[in-house]
Amino acid sequence: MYPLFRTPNRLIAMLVGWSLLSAGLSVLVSGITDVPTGRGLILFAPTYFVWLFFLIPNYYMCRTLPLDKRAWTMVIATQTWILLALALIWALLGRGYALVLDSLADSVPYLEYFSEGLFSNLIFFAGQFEFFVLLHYLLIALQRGRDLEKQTLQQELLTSKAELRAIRATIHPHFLFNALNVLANITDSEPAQARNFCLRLADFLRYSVAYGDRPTATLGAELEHVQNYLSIERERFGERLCTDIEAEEELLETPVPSLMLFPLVENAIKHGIDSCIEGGCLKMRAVAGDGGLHIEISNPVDELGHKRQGTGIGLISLRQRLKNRYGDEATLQTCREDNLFIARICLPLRRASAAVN
Amino acid sequence: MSAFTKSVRRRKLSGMAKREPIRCLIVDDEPHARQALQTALARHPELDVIGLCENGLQAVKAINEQHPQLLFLDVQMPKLDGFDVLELVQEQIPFVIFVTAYDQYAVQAFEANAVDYLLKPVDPKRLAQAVEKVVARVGMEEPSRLQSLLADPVRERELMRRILVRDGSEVHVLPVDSVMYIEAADDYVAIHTAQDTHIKLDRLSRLQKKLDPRQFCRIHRSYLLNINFLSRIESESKDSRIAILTDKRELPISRSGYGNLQKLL
Repeated sequence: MYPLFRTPNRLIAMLVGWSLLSAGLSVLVSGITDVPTGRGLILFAPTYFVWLFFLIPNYYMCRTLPLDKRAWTMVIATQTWILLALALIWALLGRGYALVLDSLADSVPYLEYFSEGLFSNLIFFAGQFEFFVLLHYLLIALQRGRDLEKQTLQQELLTSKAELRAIRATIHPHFLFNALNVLANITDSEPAQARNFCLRLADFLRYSVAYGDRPTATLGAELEHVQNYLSIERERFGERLCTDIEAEEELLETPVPSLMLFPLVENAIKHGIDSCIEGGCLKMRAVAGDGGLHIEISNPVDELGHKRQGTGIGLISLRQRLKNRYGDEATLQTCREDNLFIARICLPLRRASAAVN
Repeated sequence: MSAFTKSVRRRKLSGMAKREPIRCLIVDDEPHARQALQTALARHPELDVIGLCENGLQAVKAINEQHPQLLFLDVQMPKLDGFDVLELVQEQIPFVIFVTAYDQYAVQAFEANAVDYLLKPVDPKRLAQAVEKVVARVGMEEPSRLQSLLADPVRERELMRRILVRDGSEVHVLPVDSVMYIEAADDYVAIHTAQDTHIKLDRLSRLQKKLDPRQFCRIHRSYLLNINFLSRIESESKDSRIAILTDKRELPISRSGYGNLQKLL
């Protein structure tokens, strides 16, 4: 679509503006060539108006002759030839129009008027043509800049989406090492338990893989997933880990972002329970209230229990995912209360049921 | 001649076979790992497992009280990791075999003079090799002291968030923010917090390197001050100044120490 006509407003402005310009120019040329103003308007204005449509195709010509890829001599030569050809066609058409007017009104020598004004008109047209050539090249440059920016943004969006997905579906290799280690240790001593352990590990991995690409899961499925994770970690931690998870029954079918709970629970284990020499209890509550779904996860933490602090990437990416999906309607807050670390998620319940992708 | 050497060798061999089993301690925070290693070691009569420890604190206590000859030591444990345990009991442990799920600590472990480094899950063949190494070394050479741990560049790169101090079997973990100042005393340092003082076998210059230089200032050859506890500076004369701490304690400031303080403040 021709850029100057792209929106209805622009099209109207362009046509009205061009009409006024045509009228003004007609009066001017009439003055120069001693043609009565009224007659000049009737004769010249329509032909000027038509000239606009002679200028438009130039835009496409400019697109096929980009300044940075073609020699400028070639550009000038081509555009000049086009100008001459267009001027010739226009002059012939104008002459035809004058002939028609001539035959309609016997007393007025329209054809003579037209011939008298032809030279000034051609000069004006050449000027306008040059102006439009410059205008078109400018528009093309602007458009290209905008396209480039858009492409960059799109690329960035794709990358960040991919990164988010990668982080979401990340299973830390250390987790697998630990699981394999547990398995090797219990296969001889407790074969039945080892078998059960494999099943839960398989369920855990299956979910992580399946929901790496699916943005939405139910709260019930999410809870089952973290329960699987916790049962694997419980083998490792023994009595150091206890869990206490409760969710209101009617909330289990609520759609929530997939793999939303896992990073929080993983953090609670890695940076919380594991930092405490005696271990501790991971508590989770999911309740409905104020039109929202509230999930609270708390765990004991010993700040000096680990040499390093976490990177916080898990929380940042989860916060970003919630923001992308719910805007300001969802929150993820974390706080310390005495020796507890608490993470609170709040999702809008009504929006959650719309399952936005 | 040959009969003589033969008999000597035979006596030596029989002597080794009858030797007391090597007393060892297993330190790992995962119950299955402890159990599995204990089961695997039951096949090696040359070792005697005298105890299982669930964490670094228990390990320090057990080492202090039972004096094992060999430690099977997990690296990643809560509160005190394997290297922390070694730092606290460096002069009391002859032999260490690290047992860990990850190989990222291997270099560090050998720099700490570990006899061997086993990866979990432990392969029985590798375990047998490690045990062989220890058996060969016991009695053959002076046990390698774990001195080089102190000079380990990997550990010195990171700033400390806490200082570990051992008092007999008890371990204190002091957050660096609670330390008011550290005083040098011969081979020891005295670490003063608002409540009490802890003695640690260490050097002031080494500690200074591992503490945040924006927080700790060497105000004197013998004093390293946490500037958060500095209340004001009083000058008695041109070259003699005194730091008054928030709890009214006074510390001398040397001339170069005053320069350090000025740079920091």
